[in-house]
Amino acid sequence: MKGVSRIIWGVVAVVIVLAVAAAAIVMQKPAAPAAPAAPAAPAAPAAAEWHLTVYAQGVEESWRAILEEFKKEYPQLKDYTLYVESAGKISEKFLSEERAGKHIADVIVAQTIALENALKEGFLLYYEPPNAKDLMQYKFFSSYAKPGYYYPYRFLVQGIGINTKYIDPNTIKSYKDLLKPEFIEKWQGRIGMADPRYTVSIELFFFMKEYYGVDFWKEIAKLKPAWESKSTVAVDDLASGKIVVLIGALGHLFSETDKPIAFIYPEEGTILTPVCAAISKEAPNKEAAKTFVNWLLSKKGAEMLVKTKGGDPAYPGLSLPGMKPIDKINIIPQNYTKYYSIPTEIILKEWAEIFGVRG
Amino acid sequence: MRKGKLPSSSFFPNIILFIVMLMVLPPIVILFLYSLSNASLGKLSNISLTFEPYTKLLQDSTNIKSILNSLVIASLSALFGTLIATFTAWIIVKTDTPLVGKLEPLLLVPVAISPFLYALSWTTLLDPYIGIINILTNILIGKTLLTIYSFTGLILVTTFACMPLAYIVIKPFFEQFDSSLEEASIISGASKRVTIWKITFGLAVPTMISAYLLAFVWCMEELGIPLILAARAAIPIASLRIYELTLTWPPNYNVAAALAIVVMIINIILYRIAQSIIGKKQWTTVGLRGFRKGVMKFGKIKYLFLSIVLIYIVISSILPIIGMVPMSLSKVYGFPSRLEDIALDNYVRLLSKPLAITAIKNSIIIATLGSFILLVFTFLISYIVNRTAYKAKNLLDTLSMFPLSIPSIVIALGIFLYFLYILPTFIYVSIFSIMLGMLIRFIGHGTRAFSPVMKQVHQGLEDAARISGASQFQTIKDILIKLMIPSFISTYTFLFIYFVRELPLSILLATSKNMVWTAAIYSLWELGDVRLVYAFACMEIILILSVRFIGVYLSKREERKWNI
Repeated sequence: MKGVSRIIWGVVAVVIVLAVAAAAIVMQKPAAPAAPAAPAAPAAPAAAEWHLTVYAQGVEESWRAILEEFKKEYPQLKDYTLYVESAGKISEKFLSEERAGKHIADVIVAQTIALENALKEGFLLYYEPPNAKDLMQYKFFSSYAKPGYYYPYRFLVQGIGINTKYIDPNTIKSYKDLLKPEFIEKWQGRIGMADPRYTVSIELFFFMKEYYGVDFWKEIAKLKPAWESKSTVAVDDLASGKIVVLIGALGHLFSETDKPIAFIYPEEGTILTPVCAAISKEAPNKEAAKTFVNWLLSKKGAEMLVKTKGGDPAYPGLSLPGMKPIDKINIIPQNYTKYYSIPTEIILKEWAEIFGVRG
Repeated sequence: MRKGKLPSSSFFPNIILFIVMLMVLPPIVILFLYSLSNASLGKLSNISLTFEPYTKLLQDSTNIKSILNSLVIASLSALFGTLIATFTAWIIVKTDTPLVGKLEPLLLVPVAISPFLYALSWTTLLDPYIGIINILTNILIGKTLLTIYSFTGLILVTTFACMPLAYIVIKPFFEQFDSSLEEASIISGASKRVTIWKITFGLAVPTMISAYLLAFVWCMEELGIPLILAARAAIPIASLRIYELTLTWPPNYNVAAALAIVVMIINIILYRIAQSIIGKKQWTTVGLRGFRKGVMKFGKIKYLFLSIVLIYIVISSILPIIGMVPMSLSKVYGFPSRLEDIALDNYVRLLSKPLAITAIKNSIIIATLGSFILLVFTFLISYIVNRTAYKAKNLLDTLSMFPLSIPSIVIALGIFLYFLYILPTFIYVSIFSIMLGMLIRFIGHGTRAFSPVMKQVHQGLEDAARISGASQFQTIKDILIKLMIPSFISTYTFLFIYFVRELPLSILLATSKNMVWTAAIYSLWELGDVRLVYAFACMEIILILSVRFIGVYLSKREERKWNI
């Protein structure tokens, strides 16, 4: 009798576990259809109280300050939730939640590669922020915007970082200066580069190769750089002296710091990577999200970015302390249409072959 | 019914088994599905099964190398860690060596620091260019002592980091060891050396195997240390490879899941082998006649023991703290070279951040409450597995082992995806989703900590109580729990530490509202200001050592009450 009871219990348990799993799968909503290229969706009636959830790439402290400032202007915003992570983690979380039918994020601020994926699956809301209209005259803004879906809020500027305790800033003007035999002899092993597998330096690799040809990177490969998997941590390695030169350094991390580091805008040019703001199609707080994105694109929104050193602003005429404004930087032409048409694996394979790195 | 096991109604064990199944199976099933498909994250419907992820896994020699390297590093580190833990626990508990009891908290420093920070602090000591020790040896002997970004460096740091985990399992064994067994051996003419070797350490073997297994599995799945040390040296390590596969663009979760399943299978096979070895040993040390604690007297050799413990503490704990504390107090970037550069500014700055305050508050709630729930739950699992004739106990035991044996980054992903489907949004975005995730993640850690101690207490004690008319509940409450109080305290501390240190799941679930400690440290690390990171890490050490100190104090008070 006892044996039978155990079998029954076992079967009941397995059935319930499977039922839960099946229910989970069934409950999953199909992906939303592609977003219409139609005019802006009609605004939802204004909620009495706003609660905004923002998934953003960047600096947590900066985002908190930005949202606090926004809250001051819009007292309807009672509360906000922030998820600040890398573009990859934001994409992973946002896409998984949306695919599973859990609509949590209102606003996403991330690199375009993350937003493009969300757009392909129909997870972005079509919305034209009034503040974006004037900015579209500005080429650094319009070149990187996907009108109606996402607009640049800030840029990642990639150049060369140096430790000023070891390297005289006047001796490095271009990548070619790193290739001088005396430089290689002295510093080989202490030259780092942001790893294209995990950082935005994949764009640096691709666009520099497009512009200067593959030989440019073959020369750089002679430096045998140490690969840094996180751009922010790489700057700390640079400051501590673990490395003395960082290729693919992000400019905003060098603004007004007490670390012994300096940022060089190479003569060959820099790469700009836009970090754009978009709204989730199923945003639980659409009205708040629209108001916030519009505010982010205003001068005030950009000034808060500068004030909190959250990044190089996309707004014209503003720059981080000690850094060049975007329109004063020599920028390499970047054909994003071509970039997105080539699978990342192919770009990384070429990089791995040139630098002799395992896949 | 097996001899010596209590008969048991299967109602209660079935409930426990059902809860464990509900906790553990769905994330594993989800991972299996991902490893057997090309589905994107969050898409579980309409998936077609394929072996492509496994084919891709085998085609890339880096993946195979990463598994082999992980096996070598985990085997050696866990072995060294367990041997050191056993020897140190024996010195502290079973010998008359002075001061060592007071030094014990310092032994646990490596477990009180998040592994990636522990590894980071070692880079400040043994980086080939800026490591303090290497700079000194370069001046003194003209060469670097050791490059930390190497195989040796990985084994060294992993050994130090896993040793306290083994220690926490082994120490209660010695604390509950009946000294009359050693006395009987000596009275029978055996020398002290033979007694120590054959009786004390001989009986410790099953506990050592349990501790080794726990340390081994931890080393296999640990990510923080390879992330800092192996990535730069381009040494493929399984957990790091999984991380790389999930982080690269586009992420390859399917191959990552396949690699994680392979690691899980290896861990489970080893676990079953270890269980079969333990099962064959006779190793009850708390018998029917009561037990007595006692220490052996060692004359002058005790000072040698003291020196060994001191040297170990200096290397494994003090040196990394030296690499960390001055940086946390530095007003300038880098090591403070003048006294006026030292201040508490970083701590003030840190505690003025809402991120830090929220993280501290949430972590304390999650760790305090979650550890307690898991303590009770895993005790019940261990009781069913070790003390009853329940037929599905092997299944229960193996299921509880699953989350422990999968690399953390992947089980975290499985739990995250599971929660996406089952949790209502208001729980999903709260601290309770993180706590629930950790309950799943650490269920095996709790059962692994309880099992050896439960095997150590003779079944006859409970049989005697039951013959005297006590109910099963009374027997558990008055005999087993009371005898196991040091183990309860130890396991609670151990779980608390795990809850505070957990990272991969927290990264996926924590937002500004439900931020937790290690995710906040990680967030600060990503900001690139290592001074704040070290300040936060020092506070983490203080918290964890305080919990351990309170645990030891309570344990001693309880022992005094029992006069044992």
